[in-house]
Amino acid sequence: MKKKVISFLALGTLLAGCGTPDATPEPKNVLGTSYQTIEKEAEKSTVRMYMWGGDEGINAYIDEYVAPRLKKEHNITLERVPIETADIIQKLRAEKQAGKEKGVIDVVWINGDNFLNAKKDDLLYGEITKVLPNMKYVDAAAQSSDSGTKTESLEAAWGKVQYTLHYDAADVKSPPTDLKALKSWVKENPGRFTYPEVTDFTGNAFVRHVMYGVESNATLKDPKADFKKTWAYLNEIKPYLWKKGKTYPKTLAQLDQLYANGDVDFTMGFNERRAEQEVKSGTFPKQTRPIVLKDGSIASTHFLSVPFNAPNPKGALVTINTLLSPEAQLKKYDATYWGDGTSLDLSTLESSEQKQFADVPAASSTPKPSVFEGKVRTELDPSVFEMIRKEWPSRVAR
Amino acid sequence: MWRGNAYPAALLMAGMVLYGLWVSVSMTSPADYHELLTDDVFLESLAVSSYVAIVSTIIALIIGVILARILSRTRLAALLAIPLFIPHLGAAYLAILYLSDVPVIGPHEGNYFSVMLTYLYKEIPFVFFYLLPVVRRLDSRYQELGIMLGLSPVRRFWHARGVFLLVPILEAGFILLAFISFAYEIPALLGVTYPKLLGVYAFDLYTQGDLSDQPLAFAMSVVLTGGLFLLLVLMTGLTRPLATKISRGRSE
Amino acid sequence: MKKTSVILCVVLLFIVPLIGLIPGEWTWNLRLEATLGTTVAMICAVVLLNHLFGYMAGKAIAFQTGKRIRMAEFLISLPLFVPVLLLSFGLYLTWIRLGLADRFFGVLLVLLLPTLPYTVRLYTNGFQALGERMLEQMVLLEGNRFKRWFYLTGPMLRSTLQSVTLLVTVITISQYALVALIGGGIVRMIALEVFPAYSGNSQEAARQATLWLIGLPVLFYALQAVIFSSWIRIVRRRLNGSHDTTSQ
Repeated sequence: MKKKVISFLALGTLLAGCGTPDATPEPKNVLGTSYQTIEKEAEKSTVRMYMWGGDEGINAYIDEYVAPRLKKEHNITLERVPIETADIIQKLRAEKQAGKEKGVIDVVWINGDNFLNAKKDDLLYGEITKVLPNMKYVDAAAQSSDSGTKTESLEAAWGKVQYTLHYDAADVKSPPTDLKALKSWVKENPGRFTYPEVTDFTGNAFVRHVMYGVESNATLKDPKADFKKTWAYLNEIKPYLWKKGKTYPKTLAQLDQLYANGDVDFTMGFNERRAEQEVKSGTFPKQTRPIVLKDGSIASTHFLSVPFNAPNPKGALVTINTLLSPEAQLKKYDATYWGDGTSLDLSTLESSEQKQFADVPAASSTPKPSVFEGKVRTELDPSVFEMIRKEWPSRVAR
Repeated sequence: MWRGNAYPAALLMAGMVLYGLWVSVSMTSPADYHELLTDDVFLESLAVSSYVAIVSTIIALIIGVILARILSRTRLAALLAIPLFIPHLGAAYLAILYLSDVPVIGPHEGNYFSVMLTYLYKEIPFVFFYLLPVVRRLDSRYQELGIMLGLSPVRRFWHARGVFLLVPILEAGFILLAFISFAYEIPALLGVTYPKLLGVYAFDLYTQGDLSDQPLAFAMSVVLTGGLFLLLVLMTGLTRPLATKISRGRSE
Repeated sequence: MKKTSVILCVVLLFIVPLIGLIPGEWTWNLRLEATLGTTVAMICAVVLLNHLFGYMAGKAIAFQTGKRIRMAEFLISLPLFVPVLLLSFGLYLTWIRLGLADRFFGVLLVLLLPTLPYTVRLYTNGFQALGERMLEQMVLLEGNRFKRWFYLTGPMLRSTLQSVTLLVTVITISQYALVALIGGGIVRMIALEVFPAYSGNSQEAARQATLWLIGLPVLFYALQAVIFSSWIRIVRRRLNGSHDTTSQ
């Protein structure tokens, strides 16, 4: 018996020995070198990009367009790892706590309160945007702050979108144009509207839009205020929602599925062009049309960043720079894969490039730019995100 | 040495579990437990999870035992093996595929019927195969002996079969109860927003937002683990003498 | 009559639903297939370790008596009633310090948590059903341990061995959260592709993922069945042969 236990322990030590970490953390001075050097040294490396993976169009853009391009131009192998952003932040936190200096994540797709948390806990690499040549194209206003948190060069703006509702014009003859009309419509058509749970990025944003519609400016500026009117509005429509408001779609993807199946008449999301690709592929109804509520549409920017312990920061920087190039942004903007608003300031581009962006046709599911005039709202304080997550379950869902 | 060695496995399991538990305890303060036990959201989640777990487990046990009795001697028992090849995630997909448009038992209903049906789909075959080897080895001579001795049908059943089946049935039931109470995937895909089952609620508490809710999630894992600990100690203590007797082949 | 109707119900409720999974046309999903190497290697490793530890432990629990073995039994079954996922958040910190995080071996160890307790139970029940007497007989019949296992214990435990492999395979490939956390997206197992597909917006991707999820356990089971039938054929032939020589 004793002999067995000992041999087992020996085996354990042996196996643990196989897992000894590489003791060669990348020097922190990458940001001090010129981009040309970084670009050269990044050749033939592998970059792991961690991002939310719930949208086939977005995944295809990375797998079928970006990865082959990086391979061709820089001989970089891009691996996309589909993981929820909140989980990525938890992982980085644990690695920081345990003192892991060489992690596994090179590029992370991030914004809002995830960025706030990452910044607060010092989980990001550093002032990466200062070395990227393509930052000269990026819209300065979009770049400066992320949902009210100063970006301080820690992340680079990748896309800029507006919150938009979409509906099926075959079923909805006179679509509501503000929150009040939406409430009446929901009451008259029970079971045909819902929004995702507030743990979902899009569902949380729907609640913030209600806040913009029903709360006073003073309340909106105070994250500690009691948003009574918002909860009242949501409770008033609750009995008339899909499944009588007893449950909500857990994710935006689930709401999209309900909409695609014709179970509800509305879907919603950040990105005014998101329905184009879905209509084209036959997933969404043909007569999908946009609504931009008069109460306002929150403008949101999403970003790319590099974690504090990225194993290949040089490759990460080259990848981000490529993603910010006018060509890559154009491919992201048109409806082939994704249809995501560009983060570039088009006036900085050459006129031929400007024309290419202008020539991208807008489908009937995309609102005309003029529709947004006077309706664009800035993001509320990121602490509101967390407040909604805490309060909504007991004040509305229950 | 031909009697085996349980220590390597015990060391591995206990090492990882107790260490993880110790980390959980060290992440919490007494105040967190107070907050948890007075939190209505948690208590309702506990209530609905118990309801789902207990109902699914009992039905799975009853049907599983009956099927094992009827099908143990047939070659068609292999049919029931087919659901065993389907991971829980896959079973949830089947529920979405077929039940989405069905009222009352469809996904996303507060009665959690779709969740329970999915568990039954997976767990009835589990119970069946957990018990099959035992049922197949039941010695029919005990039954004959019972008839010879003129025992009542109930006592005959107990002495010829029940006594051998009791321990495995309790074990299977306990495994299912614990598994269903904490599982994440199926309730996450088919459950409702409120009240959530424990696994989903704990996972959300842990991963969402800033760090402020994490101690609550750890407190939850400590409290629930403790509760099930007690149950298990009780069960092992009660059934061990019986199991020993049976393996010695001189039961009552 | 009763049997027929029961079988009919079983077929209707358990088997017929699978028809909906049959695809109209088969397409290859490159990302899914890229995970197969790691997935298959992981299944093999987890299954082998489960058999090794589970066999020894199951036998001990079935036949030994005393306080120490009862304690061991209790410790082994711990993961059955602990929220393994929450616990793994704590383990993860240690795994990073040991250099096991984001590595194949680190994931392998953690995957023993949701599998080994079941395996030990299955082996315990298998050995208990076999009975101590039978085992004693076997020891008398064949003194050599490995021969004894090859000719007697192994074939007699066939159904236990098969159940263990199947159960471990199915549990291993459906772990998303554990693999994502401990493997950090580097140890690319199939669940990492399947889970986002289920919560994503493409029905076709979800169905294809399901087919793989079911296909892998089927393949492993079939492989095992082939191994077993040739094993038993060899045993029969050898035993017949030795019987013949003694009778001559």
